[in-house]
Amino acid sequence: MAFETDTDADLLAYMAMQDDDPDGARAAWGVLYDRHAKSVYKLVRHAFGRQFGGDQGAADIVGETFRKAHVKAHTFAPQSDDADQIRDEVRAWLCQIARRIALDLLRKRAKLPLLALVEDEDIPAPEVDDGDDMVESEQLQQAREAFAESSEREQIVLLETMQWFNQDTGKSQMPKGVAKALAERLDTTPANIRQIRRRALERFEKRLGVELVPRANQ
Amino acid sequence: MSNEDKSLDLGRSPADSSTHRLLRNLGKLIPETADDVRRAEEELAEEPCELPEALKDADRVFEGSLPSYGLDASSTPPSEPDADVLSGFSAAAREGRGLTPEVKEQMRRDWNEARRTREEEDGDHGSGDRGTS
Repeated sequence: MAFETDTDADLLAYMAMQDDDPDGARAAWGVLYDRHAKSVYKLVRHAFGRQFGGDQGAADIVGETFRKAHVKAHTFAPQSDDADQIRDEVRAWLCQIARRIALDLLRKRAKLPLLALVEDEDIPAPEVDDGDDMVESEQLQQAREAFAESSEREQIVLLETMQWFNQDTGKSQMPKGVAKALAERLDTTPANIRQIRRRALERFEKRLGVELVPRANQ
Repeated sequence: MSNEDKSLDLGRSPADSSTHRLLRNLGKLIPETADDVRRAEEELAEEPCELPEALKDADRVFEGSLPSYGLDASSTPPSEPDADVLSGFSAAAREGRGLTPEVKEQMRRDWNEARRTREEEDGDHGSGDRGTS
């Protein structure tokens, strides 16, 4: 069975029927993998490679992401009829799976009890972006510059703490074991991690001004 | 123990949400929305990327499993990782370089152990649970 001309949404629908047609589901998975593996790998390597030893660690996360996607295919719900938009939604969904896997590994690395096993969670469909949420290229450039102006230590702290930011609650809660490991790597204390993070955020606030305040608070 | 007890509260800043979004758009954090993906891909368009050997063969990926890195906390408690191994992870992360021979050896041992466990589980439960052919 060939699926090369099917949309990503169709592929995921076939994958979701794996109990009835395992061969078809597996073939559909292969086409989905070929379409997205390289892009997802690039995004995962960029976001998590440093924390997982580079290319090989990123590859491990991506492999597990696609295996998980096969099992969880039934949870994907496209928000659009446009093939290009669906492609990006699928990649965002795959990235969300990758994020959960990576954070779960970080928790395990810090030898914490497992708070949320990836296997037990459904991956929600990615948010639909409304036009108002579009970031202006000028703002992105300012963010780029604010990041570049930060010290290496601030960059590391900002990125690794921001991974634990919960958009729904607005809270940033890093597992203590993960914070401790980060502090040890940077030869500092978890309390000081907070201070370094605050300084880095202030740099962003200063550079971007009032535009940085979330719209919900405006 | 509650989640609060297990977590370090990093505090709140009005900049949290927007900074998070900007860093996703720049590809520095993993994208979470279709818009993030578009922008991050544009941002990283010039960055060369080849799939590593481990991901080139889809069949191999499908049949594979995530190495435990000695961190598997499932049925049996993990053995205490060597301090050298942990510092190897840290150094690799800090310096952006590859893993030390000690870490690689530990990963190899864990990989083999995970594979043995999986084979034993497959033996117990038939042909697996992924609906594969």
